[in-house]
Amino acid sequence: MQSESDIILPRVVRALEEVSRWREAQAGAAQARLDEVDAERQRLEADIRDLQGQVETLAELEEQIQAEVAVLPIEETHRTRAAVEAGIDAEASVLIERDEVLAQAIKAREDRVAQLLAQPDMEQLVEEFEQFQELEPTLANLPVGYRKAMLAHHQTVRAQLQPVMDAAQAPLAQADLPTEAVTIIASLNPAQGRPEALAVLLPVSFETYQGWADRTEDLGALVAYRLMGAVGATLQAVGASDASVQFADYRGLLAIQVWLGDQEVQGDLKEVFGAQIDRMRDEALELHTVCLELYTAWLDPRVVAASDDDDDTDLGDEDSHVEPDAGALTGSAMLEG
Amino acid sequence: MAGSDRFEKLTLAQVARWLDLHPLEIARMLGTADGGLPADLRFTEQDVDRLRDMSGVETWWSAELPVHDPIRGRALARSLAAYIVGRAEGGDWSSRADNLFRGLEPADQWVVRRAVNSLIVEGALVSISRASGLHVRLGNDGVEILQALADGTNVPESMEALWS
Repeated sequence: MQSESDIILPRVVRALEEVSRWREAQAGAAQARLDEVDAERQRLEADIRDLQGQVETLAELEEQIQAEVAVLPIEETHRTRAAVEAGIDAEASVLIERDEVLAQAIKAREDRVAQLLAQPDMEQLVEEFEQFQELEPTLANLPVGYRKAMLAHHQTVRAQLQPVMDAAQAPLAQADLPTEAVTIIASLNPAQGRPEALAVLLPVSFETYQGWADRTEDLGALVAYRLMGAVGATLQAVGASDASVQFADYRGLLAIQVWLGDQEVQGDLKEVFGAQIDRMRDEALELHTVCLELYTAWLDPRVVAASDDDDDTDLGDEDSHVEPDAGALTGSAMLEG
Repeated sequence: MAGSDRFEKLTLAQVARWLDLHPLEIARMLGTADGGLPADLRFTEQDVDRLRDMSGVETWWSAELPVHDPIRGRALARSLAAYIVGRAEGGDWSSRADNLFRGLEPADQWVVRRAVNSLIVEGALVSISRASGLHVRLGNDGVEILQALADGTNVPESMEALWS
């Protein structure tokens, strides 16, 4: 009896079986590759999900950074304003310190005059000098001889008093101090193009304007006069002599506001104002006396405009202009009550 | 007067008191003048006269009012109108606004300031900004309105509240 292995299959059957084995082998191999592909796809899909998550995170980060960039100008304005306010407060203190120096220089000049007046016979000379001043308007009524005699005597008295007059009118002595500098904050609104308003903020108390009649004329007052003169000269130079000027209280400091909306400004107002400040720095004797220099810083009007919760210090627009004649800005001004 | 004061020049604040102006107003005027502010901010009496001319400061009021009226406020308003009409004969008239009440007692100033505001509202006067300060000029029909007020034939209703 033949065993199964000894069975001799017909050639065709063997060939077909060979094909069948080949197919099974191929199918197995293909399945293995498909499994690998599937595994790889799943891994890649996981990677994609991971990367997508990273992309979304980056998008959120980008949005956050863009939001920060968007508020940068506002933050810059706040920080600039804080820096300006701290700086100008400090410079107001410098002015107060140097005012004491000015007061000492004035006192020294007065002492010198008093010293001269204390010399013998001086009292009599001063008395005669004052009597002559009272009589001077009536001199023309006197006979020529009397008039000549009185004038001659007056010349003698005047000559003897000349050292006193010279001392009283002498420039103040310059202090031996390091030079300090203070800043005048200026702002044009709008910052570019045809200006509608000029604001100048001084490191000087608002009382210099409001309470001048009850105050001693101090260094702050002199600086305010100089700046007002510079503003007047600037307005004249740019053809806006009659522009309405107002004074505002900016955190207790004095601000000069000029409404230019109804003026035809000619030329570069900033340049002209800068030249006026340079001139003032060169010429103002009181500044030389106390070794003080003034500089101008031009700032964006938003910096000196009020924040939402601080609307009493706005220098930035027309509505902020203050009494006494705020109506001048929009129409016919009314008089202060 | 202290010894040294006799021979010293005047400060700008002293000049302002003399002229009854604000020192910053004078400073602005000086800025527009030839030479600008002096290096030494002190002034002679001659400077004061020059500044008075530059500023257009005038004192109109004296003890005697030009118009008599039993009601003080109305007398002031009518006198103000009479003063302006008298100065505005050429038609082209303007003045510093503060000339209109300079020299009056505070209580009378209060009335006249409001009378001026009323005349601005009525269109008889128009305020104008100038380098030397706030000015007023005649408005359309200003002379007619002011003349009627001075005569007492037509007192603007808006003024009546000033003395009623």
